[in-house]
Amino acid sequence: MKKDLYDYDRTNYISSTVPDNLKIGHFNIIGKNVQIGDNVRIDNYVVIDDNVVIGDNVWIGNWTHLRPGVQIGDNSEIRDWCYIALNVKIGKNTKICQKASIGQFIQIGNNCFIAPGFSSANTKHIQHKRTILDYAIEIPIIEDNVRIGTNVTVLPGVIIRMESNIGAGAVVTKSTESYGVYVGNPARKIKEVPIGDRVCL
Amino acid sequence: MLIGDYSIIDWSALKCGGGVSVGDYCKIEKDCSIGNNVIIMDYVKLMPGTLIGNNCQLDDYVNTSGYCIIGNNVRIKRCTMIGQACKIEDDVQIMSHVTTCRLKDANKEKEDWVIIKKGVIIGSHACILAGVTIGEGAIIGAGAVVTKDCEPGKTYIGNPAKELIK
Repeated sequence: MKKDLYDYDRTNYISSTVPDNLKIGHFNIIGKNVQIGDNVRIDNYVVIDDNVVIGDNVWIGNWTHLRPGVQIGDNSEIRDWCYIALNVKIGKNTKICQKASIGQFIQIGNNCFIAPGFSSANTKHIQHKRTILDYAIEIPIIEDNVRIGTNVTVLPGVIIRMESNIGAGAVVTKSTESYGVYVGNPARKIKEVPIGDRVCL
Repeated sequence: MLIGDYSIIDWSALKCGGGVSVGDYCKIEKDCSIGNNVIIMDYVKLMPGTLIGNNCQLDDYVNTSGYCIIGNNVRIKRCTMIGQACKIEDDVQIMSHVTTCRLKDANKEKEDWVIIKKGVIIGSHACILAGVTIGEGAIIGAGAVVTKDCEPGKTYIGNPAKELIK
């Protein structure tokens, strides 16, 4: 039995005005007051909530969920199954791979690479049904040109400074130094990024 | 072949065996090959060039990037991400949230194959870095980060993964 996607209603549920050159797949939901730039590619099953701002040439993968107030810079990529929480700001030319879970208010700089399975926390008090006003939130900040490996966890209040590299499986408990290479749980600095590999000196 | 709701399947050049079941919201791209009696659950994404053998089971949210080869009787649990250039042999069990990488250096585009040999068991949240070969019957503990080749029949744990000496 062959069941094609033509068997279904192919309508995307779009409640805001979108540009003509938007490449959009199937079964997407786009909320109100969403600003979408030119040449944006949105794959299938994406949910975009209200007041989201998306720059030019952005690619948003399948099954991704963008919560209200998310801002995404030009030329960024957000791949499949990502969960981008409230008011996250993502810079330009940044790539976020599959299954990243990015907490509220996190700022991600330009030219970053975040490998699959990234997760971040933004408060030390974890409680079911809490609101953001209940506790002081300590927001992790990811600066420009950072590269992060697979399955990395970033704890609250950590600043990942410019051009630091985080190895696969690391748990970042303290702020990192610029140009440092960090691995392990808890993350320790093992070396500096060689000068030849640095993007900016 | 049973297909769930809202799945998007590219039928061009899809080779599919008998008794295959595909869940809801799946996305299967072109040039995939699926063997007999394979169970694919919900939200699974198979990228172009995925070859799957017989009697496999892929749980929810499993993602295979292009050009990976999966053998017979393989069980892959939830949220596992199989990167590009990965070869998984027969009777392998992979737990949830495992990732495999394809590039040793993010600046270079040369792929290094990850090879997981027969009968390997990989614990949940393990990362397998590019170019690693895991020997026959080895066991990788939960949360391990495998940076070097693993010898057959031994157990590796920790970050970076080291042999467990009993």
